[in-house]
Amino acid sequence: MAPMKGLTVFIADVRKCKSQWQPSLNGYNRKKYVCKLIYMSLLGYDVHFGHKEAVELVNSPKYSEKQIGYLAVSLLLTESSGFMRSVVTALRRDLYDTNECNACLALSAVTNVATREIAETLTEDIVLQLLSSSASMFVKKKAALCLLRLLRRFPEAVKARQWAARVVPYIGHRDIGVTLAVTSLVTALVQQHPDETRKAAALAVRRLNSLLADNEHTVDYVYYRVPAPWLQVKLLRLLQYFPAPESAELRGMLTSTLRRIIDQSQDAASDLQQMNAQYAVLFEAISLGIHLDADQALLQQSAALLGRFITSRETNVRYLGLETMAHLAAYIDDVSAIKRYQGVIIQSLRDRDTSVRRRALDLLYSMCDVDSARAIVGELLRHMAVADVALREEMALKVAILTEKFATEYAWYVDVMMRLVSLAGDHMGDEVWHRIVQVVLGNEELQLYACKIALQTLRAPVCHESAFKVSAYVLGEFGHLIANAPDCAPIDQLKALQAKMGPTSPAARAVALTAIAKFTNLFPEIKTLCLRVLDRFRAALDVELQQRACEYYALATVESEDLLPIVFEEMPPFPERQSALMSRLLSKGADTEDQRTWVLGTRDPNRERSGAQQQQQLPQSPPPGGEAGVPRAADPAAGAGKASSEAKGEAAGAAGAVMPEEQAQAARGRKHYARLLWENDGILHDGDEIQVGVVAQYKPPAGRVGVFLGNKAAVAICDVTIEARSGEGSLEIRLAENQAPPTSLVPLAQARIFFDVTCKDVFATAPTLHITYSLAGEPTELELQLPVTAAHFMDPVTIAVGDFFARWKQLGDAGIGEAQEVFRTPFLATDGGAGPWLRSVVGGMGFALIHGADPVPDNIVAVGIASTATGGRFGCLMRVEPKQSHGLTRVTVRATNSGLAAAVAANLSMIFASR
Amino acid sequence: MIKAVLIFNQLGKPRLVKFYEPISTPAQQEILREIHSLVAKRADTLCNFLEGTRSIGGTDTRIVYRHYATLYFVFVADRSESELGVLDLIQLFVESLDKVFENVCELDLIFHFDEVHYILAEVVSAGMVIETSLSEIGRAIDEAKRQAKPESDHARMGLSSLRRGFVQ
Repeated sequence: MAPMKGLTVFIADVRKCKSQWQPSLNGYNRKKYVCKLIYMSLLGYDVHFGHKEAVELVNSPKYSEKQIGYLAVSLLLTESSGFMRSVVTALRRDLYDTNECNACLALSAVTNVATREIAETLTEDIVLQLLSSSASMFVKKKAALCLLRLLRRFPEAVKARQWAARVVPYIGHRDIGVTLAVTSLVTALVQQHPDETRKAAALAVRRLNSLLADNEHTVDYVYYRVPAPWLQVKLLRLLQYFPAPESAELRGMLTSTLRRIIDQSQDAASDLQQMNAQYAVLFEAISLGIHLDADQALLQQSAALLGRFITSRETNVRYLGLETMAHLAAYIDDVSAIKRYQGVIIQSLRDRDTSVRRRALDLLYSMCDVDSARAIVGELLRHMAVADVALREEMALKVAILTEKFATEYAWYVDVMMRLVSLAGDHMGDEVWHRIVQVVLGNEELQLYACKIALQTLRAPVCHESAFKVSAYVLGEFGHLIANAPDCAPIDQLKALQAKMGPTSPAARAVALTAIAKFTNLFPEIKTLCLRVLDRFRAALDVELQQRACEYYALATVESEDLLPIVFEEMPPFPERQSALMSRLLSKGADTEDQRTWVLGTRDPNRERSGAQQQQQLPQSPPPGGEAGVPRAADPAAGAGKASSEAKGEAAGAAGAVMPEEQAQAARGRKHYARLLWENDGILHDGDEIQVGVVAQYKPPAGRVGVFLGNKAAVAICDVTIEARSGEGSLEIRLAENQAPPTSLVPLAQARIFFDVTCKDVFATAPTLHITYSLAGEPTELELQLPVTAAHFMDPVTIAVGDFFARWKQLGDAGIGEAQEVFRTPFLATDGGAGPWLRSVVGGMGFALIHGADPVPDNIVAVGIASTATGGRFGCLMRVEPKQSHGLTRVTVRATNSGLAAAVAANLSMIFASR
Repeated sequence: MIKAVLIFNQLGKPRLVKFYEPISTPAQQEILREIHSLVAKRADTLCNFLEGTRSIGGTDTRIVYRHYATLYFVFVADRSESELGVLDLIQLFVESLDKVFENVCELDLIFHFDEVHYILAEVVSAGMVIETSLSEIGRAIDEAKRQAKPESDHARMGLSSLRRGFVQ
C-alpha cells in the first residue's frame, strides 16, 4: 500500500480543493502538485487549472522550482492565457539574471511560449545575448533558436532586417553548437531577407571546408567517426537556398567538398550508426549537387551511387535512395542514367515496406518520359490491382497524368484510361473521369474510337461505375458517330446503357438519363423508347433523378421542332485550363513553409519554382545559365491535339460572351468592397490568377491596412509591384516600416504588405491600390479601390439614452451636415427581419448603438466620433428606420462635418446595394 | 523543422509528448494514437520512415521513429529536415538519456518525466537541433542539477557571481 499513499492523499487534496482556494502552499508542495498536473496532461487530460501555481513557481528564487514552473508554463499554458503577462515579466527578469542557468531557462521558455508581446519587447535583448561577447556558448545557441522561433511566429514583429546581417557571421563561429543553431536561424532568415544574408553562402562554404578538409572540430562532435554530421547537413541545406557561388575559388572549394563527401561514402561503413550519419550527409550533398546543377560528371556519379543504394539490403537506404533519385530525375534533362535501373525500381513497387513502395511510385512518376511511358504506365496498371488501398488513389492520379502527358496515340490514351477507371474507380475522385470527358470532348480525332470503347465497356460483364459514367457521357454526345457500324445501332446503344443502369448509384443514373435525353435528339427513330425510360424515372424516389426525368421528358415532348436540337446540342469543347489532376497533385505539397522543397515529377514546375525563387532572392543578378528564363519548350503535357481544341475554344468563346463576365466581375468586386466597409477583414478581389485580401485595424486617426496577395494561378507570378495611392491630400497612405513588398509569388503562396494610413482631415475619395504583375510573361495591371473612407476612422461613443434626441435636434438645427437616404431592401421575416443585420452593419461601421433611445423598438440609433489628425474630431449620429412592411429603410446621418455625413451615407448605400 | 517529439510504449501509453507548435491536448492525443497505430504494426526490418497522414501534416510530413525495447521514439519533422539526420538525432537523444539515467528504462522516463523534458530541451529547441555533442548535453544537465540542489546555494555563487563582482 505504501507507494499508493501519495496518490490517495493527492486525490483527497484535490477533492477538498474543489470549492475552496488554498492559499497556503509552500514551495515544495506547489512544485509537487504542479508536477502532478504536468503528468496528467502528459496522459492526455486537459488541465485547465493550477496555472496560477505554475506562474508562482516561475517567480520563485529557487532554481528547482523555477525549472518546474517554466516546464509547466510551456506545456500547460496557451499563448492566449491570462497569466501570460506575469510570465513575460518573469521572463524579462530572468533573461538578465546574472546566473546563466536562469537566463537559459528563460530562453528555452521563450522558444515554447512565444507571444507577440515577447516578440515585440524582448527580441532586441535576445539578439544582444547572441551577439554579446560575455555570454557563454550555452546562452548563445539558445538565443539563436529563440530568435528563430520568434521569427517564424511573428515575422513582422521581430524586425529581423535590423539584425539579420549581424547574426550571419556567427556561421563561422568555432563552437559547433553555436554554429549549428545560427545556421538554423540563418536558413530561415535567408528566405525572408535575402539581401541582408547574402554573405551566408560564402561563410557556409568555408565552414564546411574547414570542417571536412582541416578537421576543425573537437572530438566531442564526432558522431560514430563522422565529424558533426548535423552541421554538415544543415550547411549543405543552407547552400541549397543560394545559386552557385560566383567566385571561382568558392565554387572550386564547394565542388571539392561535395566530391570529398561522395568519395568518402564509397567505402562501406562498418556499423549501422556510422552508415546512417554518413549517408545523411551524402544524400544532402547529392541534393545540393542537383541544385547547383553545375557538374554533370558529379551528377552522373551520384546517379551511379544511387543505383547502388536502391538495391541495398538496408531498407532505410533503399528508401532514401529512391527518394533522392526522384529528386534527381525531376531535375536532370537526361534521365538515361536513371532509366538503367527501371527494372529495379519497378521491383521496388513490390517491396515489403509501404514507405519504400510509395517512393518507388514517386520515382517512376518523375522519370517517365515519352519513350518509357508505355512500359511504366503498363507496369503501374498491372500493379494497381495488388497495390495497397492507401496508395491506389495517388497511383491512379499519376497514371492518369502520365497517360495524358505522354500519349502519342489516341487509341492508347482511351484504352489506358478506360482500364484505369475500371480498375481503380473506387479509389479516385471524380477528377479523373471528368478529365477523360474533357479530353475526349476537346479532341475530335479521339471521339470515334472513344465511342467504340465506351460501347464495349458497357457490354463487358462487369462495368465500374466511373467507367459507366464516362461511357454514358461519351455515347450521349457522340453516339451518332458509330450508329452505322454493325451492332452499334442506336437501339443497341440504348439497350447497353439500360442493361448496366440497374445497379448503379443515382449520380451515375443521372448521367445516363442525360445521355438518353440526348438520344431523343440524336436518334429520332428510338425516341419513343427513350421517352419510355424517361417516363419511368419521372416517379423515381431520388429527387435529382426525378427532376431530370421530368424536365427531359417535358422538353422532348414539347411541340417545337427547334427546341430539342438547341438544348441538346453537342457540348462545346472545354476551355483549355490546367488539368484538375495536376492541381490536385500539386495542392498536396503546397502547405509547407520550406520554399526549397521541390515538386515531384514534371520538370517544368520545378524550373518555374526555382526561377521564381532566384528572382526573389537576387533581384539584380541574372539567373545563372539563363535557364530559368527559358520559355517553356513544346510541352507534351498540353495533351495531343491541343491546337485543335484551342481553335475551337476561340470559336466557341464568342465575343458577346465577354461582356456579362466582366459585369459579373465588377458586381462581385463591388460586393467585396461593400463588405469591407463594415467588416475589418475580407477579400477585396478574387480573380482567376490573383486574390487580394484586406485586414484593417484602426486607431483613429491612424490605421494599418494589411493587403494579402495570393497567387491562385498554377505558375509563379513575377515582377509584382504594389503601390497605394491616396486620392487626395487629406489622407496619407504609405508603406509601413520594414516592409519588403514581394517581387514574385510561387503558386498558392501568399504575401502580405502593410500600409499605414493617417486621416488628416475628412476626405471623400478612397485611396487606390495599384498592382502590376506578369504571369507567364504577360504583364497585367490591376487597380482596386481600397476600402478606407473617412467613416472608417470612427470610434463608438456611448451617451445616455435621454441625451440622444437632444443632440440629434441640436445637430439638425445647426444644419452643418445631414444626409438622408431611403433604401429598398426587402427583408424576410424568416431571417428575423432587418434588425440583426442592420445592427451588425451599424456596429461594424464603428458606431455605438444606443439601445432604448428611440421610441420605436425597430429603429436603431447610434453614435460615433471620427478623429482626424489635423482637422479635429467630429461627432456623428445615425438613425436607421426600417419599415418592414414596405421593404424600405430610411437612414439619416447627422454630423458636425458635412463631408463625414456624406461619406457615411455613401458607404451605407453601397452596403445596401450589395446586400 | 521538427514538429513533435513523442515517446510511447508498445501499448501506446505516452511517456513524453512535446509539440513545437501550439496544438490542443485532444489533438495531440489524437496524433499520438494515430502514429502509434501506424508504427506499432511495422516490423523492425522495415524502414524507419513513414509519410504523415492527413491529420499529421499530410504527405510533406515525415514520421521518423526508432524502436528500443518497450519504447517507441518518434520524431515528426517536415521536409526541411534530413530523414537520416533525424534518425541519428533519436539515437543521440537516447544515448543522452542513457548517460543521464545510466541504463535508461521505461520506468526512468515515468518517474523523471521532467528531466526527460530538460534533456530534450538540450537536444532540440524550437523544433531545431541545438546540440549534438553528448558531453555538452551532459554538462548542461549536470549544471542544472547542481543549481537545483538546495544545499548548493553557496555553489551557485560560483562563477557567475564572480563575474558580477568584477562588474561591480
